[in-house]
Amino acid sequence: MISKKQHGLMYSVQQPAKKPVVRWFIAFLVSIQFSLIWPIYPLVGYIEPIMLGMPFSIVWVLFCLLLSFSGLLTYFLWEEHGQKQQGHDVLGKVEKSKLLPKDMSPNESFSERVKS
Amino acid sequence: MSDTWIIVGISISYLLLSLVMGIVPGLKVSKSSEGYVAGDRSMNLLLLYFVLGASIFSSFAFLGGPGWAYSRGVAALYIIAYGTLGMVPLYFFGPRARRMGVKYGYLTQAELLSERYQSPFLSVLLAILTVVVLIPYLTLQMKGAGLVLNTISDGAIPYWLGAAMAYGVVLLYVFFSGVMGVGWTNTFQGIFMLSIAWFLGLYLPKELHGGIGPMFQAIQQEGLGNMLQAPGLQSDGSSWSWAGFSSAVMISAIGFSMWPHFFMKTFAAKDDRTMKLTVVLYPTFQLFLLPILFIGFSAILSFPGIEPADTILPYVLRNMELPVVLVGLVCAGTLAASMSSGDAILHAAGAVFVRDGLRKFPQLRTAMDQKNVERKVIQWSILLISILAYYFAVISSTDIVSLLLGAYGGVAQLFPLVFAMFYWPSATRLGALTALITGIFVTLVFLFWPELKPWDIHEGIYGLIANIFSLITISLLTQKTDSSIVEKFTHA
Repeated sequence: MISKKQHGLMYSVQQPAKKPVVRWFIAFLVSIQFSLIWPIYPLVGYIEPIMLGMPFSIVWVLFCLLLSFSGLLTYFLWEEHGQKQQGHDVLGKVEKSKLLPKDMSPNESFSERVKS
Repeated sequence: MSDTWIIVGISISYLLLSLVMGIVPGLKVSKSSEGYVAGDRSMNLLLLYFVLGASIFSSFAFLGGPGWAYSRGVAALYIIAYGTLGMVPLYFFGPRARRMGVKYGYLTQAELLSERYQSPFLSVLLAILTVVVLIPYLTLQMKGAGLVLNTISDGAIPYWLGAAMAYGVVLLYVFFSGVMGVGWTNTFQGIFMLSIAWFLGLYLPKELHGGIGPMFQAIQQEGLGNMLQAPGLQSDGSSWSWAGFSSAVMISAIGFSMWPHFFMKTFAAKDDRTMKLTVVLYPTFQLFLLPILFIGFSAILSFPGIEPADTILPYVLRNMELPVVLVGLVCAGTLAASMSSGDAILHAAGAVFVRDGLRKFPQLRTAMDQKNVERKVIQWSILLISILAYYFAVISSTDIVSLLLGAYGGVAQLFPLVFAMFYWPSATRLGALTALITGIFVTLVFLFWPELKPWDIHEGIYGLIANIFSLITISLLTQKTDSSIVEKFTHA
């Protein structure tokens, strides 16, 4: 239940233990975003040193791209590993609800499946 | 047969192949709206990756990307900088939205929002905004396609016919196959244009300068080093300010995943894992933008002074002694870029117009449900929307580019609402409506009267500040939404 006094954010409802890691992960993502703009990119967005034949301003952006990809992949694998260990379903299977929102009267195939 | 007709022949064969690729998969999905709009929620990783990836690889990326690198240097990295994390919000929102979709039958972003905030008005408002924004977007893609076919045929195919040919094909497969047609053609077009992009991006620097390293060295030696120093130049040739660059990247990154034609693909994902992995792999698609920029860099010294900068790729192709088959393939690649964005936009605009607009009027809803014609109504809306876009592309001289520029700031205004939908139980209907309207209003004011801006940052950022402020204050002051509804979302 949501208490009337609560105004904070709700996340990781199913797995509260994930909360600190999610926070670190989001901090990691935010710091990558700021590496691509002010205040970090101005510190490194120069031509020198030239690497792989490209100015450093380009190399840096590619480096951030690679870093974000590795970070995302690591987080994904970690999360999936955790879910599997706890016996959670990684595919997120859900049952169709028979109580549809009032203006969402179902289309043909959906209604048939709900009836069946 | 003259060279021109070989090139035109390749492009037309490509169009026909796209048509077949688009029509066939649509035969397999159910005849319902769910099949038409969300592919019966069955898209696998390959399809979803290419649908989301190829949709951003638009004519803007293929023609505008090299144009930016050519005229503004590393400012063009802005496209990669916002795309690096632009898709990440869908890692968190996507699986939740998908599960809600399976459970309650949702097919669009506005359906979720209007349920969470209990406001059919919000849904209709979003439907109108979506169509208003997507039509100019589609118009630009059509213009790109018309221009390519007109240029390569040396005028033999008039501009109006070129746009009609390419988008006749798109209309056919979107009309008959819905999202699955979009999915399979985007996969095919995506692989095709990426190969072309990499080939050209490596071939042109090698041919013109002897390699990528020598190319950048030459640019620097010619005294154009300021083009290679971040954040590059503005369109008038002066240095871009860090505030301007940073805020443009920020607002695009925030707005990126909120585009209706992106967000609604979460409902097409087969399962949570597919959705998340698509986001994880997305940066690899961004990497493919790099060779596109090399094309522009390679032309800086070899072909100076070309105006407008967007025409640099076709110009280089015409003025270099390239094998004729290669030119044909590049033209087909440019068509692929235009069509792979245009199809997703067209499909989304039709679906949103009907599901979020028309359906919210009880009489129309009852009529559509009784006769079971929702899918047909979506299909005919798609036809109508493409005719409208074609009108703007070929006949009208309305300045649609400025409309689209406003759209980038505008679409980011959805972010706080979507975030609060899943994570902030205290958000209310009035809070959400005020936030959206204030955000868009502030963005538009600063877009049309930039001299009013206190600092030189993107107008969307001002909109976003007003938006978040209104969302928080009004939500805290108004009565909370029924907790049973809120929990459906926060516990999704």
